[in-house]
Amino acid sequence: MPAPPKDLFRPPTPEQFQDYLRANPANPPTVWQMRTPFIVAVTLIVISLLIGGPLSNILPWIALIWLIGHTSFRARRLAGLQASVRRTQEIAMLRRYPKALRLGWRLLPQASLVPQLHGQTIAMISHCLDTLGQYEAAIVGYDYLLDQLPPNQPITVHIGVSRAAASLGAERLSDADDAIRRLRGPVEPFSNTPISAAYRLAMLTQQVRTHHFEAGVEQSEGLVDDLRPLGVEAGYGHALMALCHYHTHNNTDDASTPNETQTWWKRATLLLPPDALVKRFPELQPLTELS
Amino acid sequence: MNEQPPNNLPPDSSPPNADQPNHQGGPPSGSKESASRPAPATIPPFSPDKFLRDLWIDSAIRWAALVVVVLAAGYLIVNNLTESTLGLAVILLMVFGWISINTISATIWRSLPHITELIGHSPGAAEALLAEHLKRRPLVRWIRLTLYHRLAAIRHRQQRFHESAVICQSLLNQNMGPARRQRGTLLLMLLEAQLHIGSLPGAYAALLQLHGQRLSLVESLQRLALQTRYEVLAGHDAAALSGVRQKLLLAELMPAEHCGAMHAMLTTSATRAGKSDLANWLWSRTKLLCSPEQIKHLFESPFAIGVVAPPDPHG
Repeated sequence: MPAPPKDLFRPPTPEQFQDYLRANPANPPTVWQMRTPFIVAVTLIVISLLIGGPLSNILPWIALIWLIGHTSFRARRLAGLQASVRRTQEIAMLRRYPKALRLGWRLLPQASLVPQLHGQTIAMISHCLDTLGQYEAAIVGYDYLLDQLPPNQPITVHIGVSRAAASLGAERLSDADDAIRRLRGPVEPFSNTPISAAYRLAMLTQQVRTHHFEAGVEQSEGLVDDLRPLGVEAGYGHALMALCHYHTHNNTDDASTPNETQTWWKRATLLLPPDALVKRFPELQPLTELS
Repeated sequence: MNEQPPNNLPPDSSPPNADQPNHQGGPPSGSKESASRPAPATIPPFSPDKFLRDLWIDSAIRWAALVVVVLAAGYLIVNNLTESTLGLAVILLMVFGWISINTISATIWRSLPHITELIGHSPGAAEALLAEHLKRRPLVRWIRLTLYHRLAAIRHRQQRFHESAVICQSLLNQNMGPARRQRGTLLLMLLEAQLHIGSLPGAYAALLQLHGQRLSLVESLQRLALQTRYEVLAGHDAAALSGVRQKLLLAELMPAEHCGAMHAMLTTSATRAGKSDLANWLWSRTKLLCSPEQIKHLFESPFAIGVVAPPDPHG
């Protein structure tokens, strides 16, 4: 009998993710739930005051032990949850996205008790979905977070930029266009950070996806500096700029391979291997012949 | 609990420290507004003796409280007062006394993430808050140790590396209890401080301890960067270049600037080891990952790692 496949987990569809988020909203304990252990302890002490006999001696101690035990249990549970979320984020950082996605998915119901961890888990799940090319599902997560977070905070702007990039991936071009326009102002204070660099990459992606290659070439000045905070991921931007040059020169019937195309492609492949570039942007395929 | 990562590579990349505490204690001249405002509290230079005294006083108060509880309980039992109203009142007093003592530590524990956040962008404000907390007594031992851990992070951020190294060393000499999770960051800060001070034996000792320590991914990346810096400084080029592909894969998980600095350090080792192809490739990547200003810093930094750019094949 063939062994069952080890990994039956498949990335969720947007509808599944939507339903899952609806079923597991952030659900922190209410003030009264937080006070319950203290109320129980006080009740035990009051009972001990009202009744006589040996039980009245024991009850205050039971109250004390209950209070210590409950506090300690809650602290340990929170620490365990924080550690689990951190471990899952580390797995995502190591680019093992399917595993991180699976673990994050399982963790979400528990994380809903702590709004901060709940938000971190959804952000991580959305990022994994985005990286795995499940753009529509990623957008569901980003939208959920954008509804919850205060506007113009760095994290909100960053998620907004990621959402715009995911919209481009999902070919929702007018949606992406709106998002990119809306983000222009909020991104400004974050110049020379990964936020502004991701925004610049999203703009370049938009120019490529809408075939505005000449506009891309016209704005190429300073691109290396603008994309630098992305680290090696700046390679995607360099590759897209190579593509802009490639198409611009093709449109002008320049038969020779333009130097600029080669220069940008060389920069891109210095930072990322060609197959990684093509996997994310299949339109880069013609440039692989330059390698 | 949030951990404050040490101020990693390159050393001079941290923004100018506008929050450096004013050790003269007075406001800057010419500012009426600041003259009317009390200067934010600062913490005097760290003294290992005072640190040990603080721990001792906390411990003494808690033990004294425990002794009082035991004596009171003994008195109630011996005099058969446990069922009386007085007995119950004493028991209640003990319960609420225990809660009150721990409330101080619990309040401080809740403010720790805020202090950690402040250290990142306003070390002066973090120091003022920490100064208030350090005065409170009695504190649970691990809470006080955690406060001193944050003090080490502030001093590190302020580039007062001698003091930061002494605080780290003092904390590492203690049994840290639940605060032992912070040993990793303490050792990383100690290692970086030793490298800044220029003490290679001290850095080696910290590195050795770090290799016996369970670290998070971010801490492992910081250790990799600092170990590479140590190896380049010590001239251990072969060690720096061993498993270079794997090291670069990990470096790519770092922020761009640190990733670029790692490439620059490996370029140095590759050049010195005569591996010119590797050096050229690394240097090309460095130039994409680091801005010209950052590269200039790497060359000119007082804590120079001896970045050696490979010879330019075109001239």
